[in-house]
Amino acid sequence: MKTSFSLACVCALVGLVGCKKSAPTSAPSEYFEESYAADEYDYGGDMDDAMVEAEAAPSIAMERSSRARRERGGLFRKADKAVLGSAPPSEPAPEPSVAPADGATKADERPPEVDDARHIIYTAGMRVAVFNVADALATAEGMPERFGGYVQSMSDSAIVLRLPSASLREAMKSLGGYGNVEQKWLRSQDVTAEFTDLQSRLKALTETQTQLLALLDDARTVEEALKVRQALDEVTSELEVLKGRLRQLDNMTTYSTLTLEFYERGPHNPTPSSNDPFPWVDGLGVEDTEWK
Amino acid sequence: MKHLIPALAIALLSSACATHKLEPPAGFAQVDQHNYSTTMIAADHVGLNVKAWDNVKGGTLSFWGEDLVNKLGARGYALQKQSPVKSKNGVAGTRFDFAYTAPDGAEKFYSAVLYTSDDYRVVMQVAGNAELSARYQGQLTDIASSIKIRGCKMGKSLCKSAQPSQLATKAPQGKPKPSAVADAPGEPQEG
Repeated sequence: MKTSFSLACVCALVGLVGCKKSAPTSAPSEYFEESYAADEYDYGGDMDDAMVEAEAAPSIAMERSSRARRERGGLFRKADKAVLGSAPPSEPAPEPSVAPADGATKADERPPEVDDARHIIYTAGMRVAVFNVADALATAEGMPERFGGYVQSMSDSAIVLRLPSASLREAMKSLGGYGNVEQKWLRSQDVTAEFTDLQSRLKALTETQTQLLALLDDARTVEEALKVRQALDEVTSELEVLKGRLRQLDNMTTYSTLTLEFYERGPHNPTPSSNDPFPWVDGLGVEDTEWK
Repeated sequence: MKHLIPALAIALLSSACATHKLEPPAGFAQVDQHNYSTTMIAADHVGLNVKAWDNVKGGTLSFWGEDLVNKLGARGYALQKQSPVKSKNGVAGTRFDFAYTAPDGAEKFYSAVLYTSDDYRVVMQVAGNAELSARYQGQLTDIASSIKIRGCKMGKSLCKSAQPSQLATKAPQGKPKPSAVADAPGEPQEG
């Protein structure tokens, strides 16, 4: 009887101690801050990994792309100039430092119209917490002067830049330095198949156009000439559509779209601190004493 | 008498909930006040802010002082001076004076006075442009001794915590953490 009574007492004591330890000890605001920080960090971590992989791609792809573009026919070079128009020219990508393998040498010996480079459209974005949104926007607005490209659109807290793909990585790194990068993302779309298809069709249609022009010269009757003229018009029209799409694709692959969203960093946007049970100091500092 | 009793009851209740009490010092106007925070501003834009959090077991002055200095140090705050203070009701505190360069390059002074009671940890912060530092450094000692910190319990010791050992912030390095103040233009940091 005595033993069972003692056991019951011990169990009750253990239960009480256990209850007390599990009771929350932090203020509700800290719970919120902790969960907020954890959410942001998990997401950012995944993005970082993705960026490391994706960031390596643009420079390589664009190096190949720019080399291939130089090798392209005169027709496309004219199209390049037409579409880029007033936009500042992109910075030339550096030549690959590694000596080309045998296969690459053979590829270089191919006719210049054969374009085997990858054509990839890069779309990136960043969400950055900064102390001064206006200053950050002004800095971002000046990026095209440094890297080339242009400002596509702008609002009170966001800006969309079109920057040379070869400079995208450097621009993102530079802009990320103006605050805490809460989110960043990069998407790529491989349009090589469409690009190659368009070029093949362009080549075929150009040959057809040349033949039709020769036929037009050889036409003996008005009826023959009219028929050839009609076919020639259709081919010419289709050629213009193809050239337009090629110019569009070239612009999209040469210039990447970078969307930047800035928001004010303050006591309510604490610096995410991983594995910190007391993120209270994130809410302290000079900015916290300022009245807004 | 009819109205006096409820008024007294309300006053007692509201003062019981407050974590601290600080009357606006000379030159400061109170712009915001809650149980866990008070904000005051001087005419020259020097800000005074009191913030409180629930304390935890083992939350001594040394523990929170070290946490505060380490984390502010990681954000680019340079500890200049550390000195003991005592609140109006005798709660032990430590004053930390920092130098800080804002992201726009402006030099700032920043002082944080940390108190710990059994129920709360309270930080009083004063910050402004560095050239105003001399004017407020002396006054801050008086302000720090005029604040009342609530939450002291009979038989417990956190209100009379020992002073933390001499702390220091690390010298700024080439590549600060993302949370650091390396937001200065032209010095990009890893995202």
